[in-house]
Amino acid sequence: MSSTKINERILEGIRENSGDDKVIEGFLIDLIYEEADHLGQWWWREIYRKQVDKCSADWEEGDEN
Amino acid sequence: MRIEKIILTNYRQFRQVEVTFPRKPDTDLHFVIGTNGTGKTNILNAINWCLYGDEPHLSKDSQRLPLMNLKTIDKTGIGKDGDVSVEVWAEAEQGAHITFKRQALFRKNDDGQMMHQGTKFEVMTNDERGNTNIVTDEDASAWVERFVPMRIREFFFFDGERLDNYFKEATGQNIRHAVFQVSQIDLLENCVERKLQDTLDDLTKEAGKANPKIEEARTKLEQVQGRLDEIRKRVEECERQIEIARNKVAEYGEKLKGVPDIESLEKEKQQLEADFRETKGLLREKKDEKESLLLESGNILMLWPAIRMATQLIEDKRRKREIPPPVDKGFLEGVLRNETCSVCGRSLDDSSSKRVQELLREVELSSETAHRLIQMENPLSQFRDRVEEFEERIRSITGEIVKLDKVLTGISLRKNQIDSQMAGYDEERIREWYHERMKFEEIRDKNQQQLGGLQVMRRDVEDDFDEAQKELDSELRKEKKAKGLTKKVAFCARALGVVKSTREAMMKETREGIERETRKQFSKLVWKKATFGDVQIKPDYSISLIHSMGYECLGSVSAGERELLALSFTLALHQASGFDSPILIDTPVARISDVNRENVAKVLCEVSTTKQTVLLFTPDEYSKEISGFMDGRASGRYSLKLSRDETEAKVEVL
Repeated sequence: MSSTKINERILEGIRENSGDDKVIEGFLIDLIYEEADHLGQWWWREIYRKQVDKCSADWEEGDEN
Repeated sequence: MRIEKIILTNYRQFRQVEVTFPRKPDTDLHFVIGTNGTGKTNILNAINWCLYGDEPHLSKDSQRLPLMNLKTIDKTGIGKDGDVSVEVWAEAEQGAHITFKRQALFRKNDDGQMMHQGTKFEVMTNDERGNTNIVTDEDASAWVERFVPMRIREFFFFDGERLDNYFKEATGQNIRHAVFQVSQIDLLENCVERKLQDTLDDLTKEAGKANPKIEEARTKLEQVQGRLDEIRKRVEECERQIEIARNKVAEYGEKLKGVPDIESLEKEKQQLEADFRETKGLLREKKDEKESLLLESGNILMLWPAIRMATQLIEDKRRKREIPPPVDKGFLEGVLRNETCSVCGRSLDDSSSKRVQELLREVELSSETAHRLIQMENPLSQFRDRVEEFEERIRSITGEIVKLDKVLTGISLRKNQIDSQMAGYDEERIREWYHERMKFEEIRDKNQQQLGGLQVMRRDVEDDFDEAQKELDSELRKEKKAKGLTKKVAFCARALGVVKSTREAMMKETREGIERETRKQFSKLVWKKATFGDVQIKPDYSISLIHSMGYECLGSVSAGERELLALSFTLALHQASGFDSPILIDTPVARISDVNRENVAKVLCEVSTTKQTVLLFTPDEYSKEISGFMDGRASGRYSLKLSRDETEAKVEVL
């Protein structure tokens, strides 16, 4: 369980705007929880890059369509 | 979540105190009443200390005192340990219980000082199955973040005075900041969005290393982005300045409503005084002119009856054909000398001679008179012209004198009006308000002018940005070597687009929601319902309170009304936050008038049906308007009493 509560409207908004693109949706929701749980950590570049590397591999451009 | 109870041990005035907050089925309203110094505000501090480790509402007196209760310090022996602890017992969803406990450890040294040995913070959770779990450090803090996040606690646990100052201090930017924090839009904007943008930039730079054309397109995009950021900043600054200036203009406008424009009146008065002096000078000149004219024309005027009579006489003589005389004098003299009529040649007899002599006498007299009268005619005519001219001039001068007299009377009347308009006002202060208003009007206008130019510039640069972005995308697609990177860039760009769309939609939705809720709460709260027409939260997050007559009136409302608006706004923020946490207000109605107090009481009672509400009152505040309404509705009522030696406070259930 994440230690921080996220405003449900943010999660809904991400889901709505991701369309059917589950990879993007999952990627962003993970990032949001990561930010909320570890606000202000200095090694964020590494985390973001790792997540982009991981998720983009499973992603095909146009997935959302 | 709600607070079930708090346990204070050796914390400031409280040696061992437990306050429970039981919920009634239909309400969750609690109040604590205590005179100043009994530790009322320290209950607020205790909760803050337990959850966040600080005491933001500490009074100057308390700042000088140690954290540990004075009686406990006194009773602790040298070299012995003692502790201060505060526990906040919270009830979460689905019957789970959470206990937040902060404990500070002390040891008394040889000088009798309590030396701090360390602080522990732990959170104990009990789930619905009865499993207990204790966490410390970051995990414990994470539970606090789920209860009331530190960054937004000031909207949940606060001093009522803050409500009064809220709109005095808050600009649109501050309110925007509060809204973004509470609704977590800042998490999207300042964390995820910004960092994704940086990641995207890093990836694009990497791709640029593989191909100079990509690098060129990327550099171009970066430059345009830089320009765009700069313009956006300037636009924001302009908007901020306009908003501040607009609020100030409205504030001074309100202050000056019904107040005479002292400066204009003074200018007018000065002008009137100058006009008065000038008119008086003109009047004097005209009077002098009249006097000179009278002096100059005095002789003629005195002779005027004689002149008029003489003129009439001459006219009369002419009419009777006596002027010029009908018979020549020389002719008659010749007849007498020759004793023969020069016309018929007859000799004159006695009677004829007598008749000629009579005629001669008559003609002689008439001839002299006629001669004199004819000689007089011209000068008499000149005199008459002069008299006519005099009459015309004297009439004109007299008319002007009357006119100038009227002007002077008018000026005096207006001066008196101005004096009575200005009487009773602090001229210096009013003048200062007018100057300030004018200054802010200039700032507003100057910035509005600048903003127009900047907005045009921003649109142009945004177009350049879109074009540069397309160029970069096109170059990235062409580069096969960087296929992996291109995919990551596209993925990042897509994710960034989703975050941006979500943020923009949330910003709009949140602002509108807060506006709706603030309006609804305020209309319930405020006493003068017909006075206020609307509450608006503008796109720049400046708050407008619109009078029913249509003008902005936030700057001029009473402290109580301002507090009611801030309370409405705070309740709206609670709703937007998605946190179902309690509200605790110290001295909630200290600045609110009696009638509005009743309204506040009503609203807080209503709030307490869905949200735990804890209010800390002074006895003065807990007036009949409050107690009459709240007593029957409260779930819990407590009174704080200080011991005789003032070292310990006790809580009594009322």
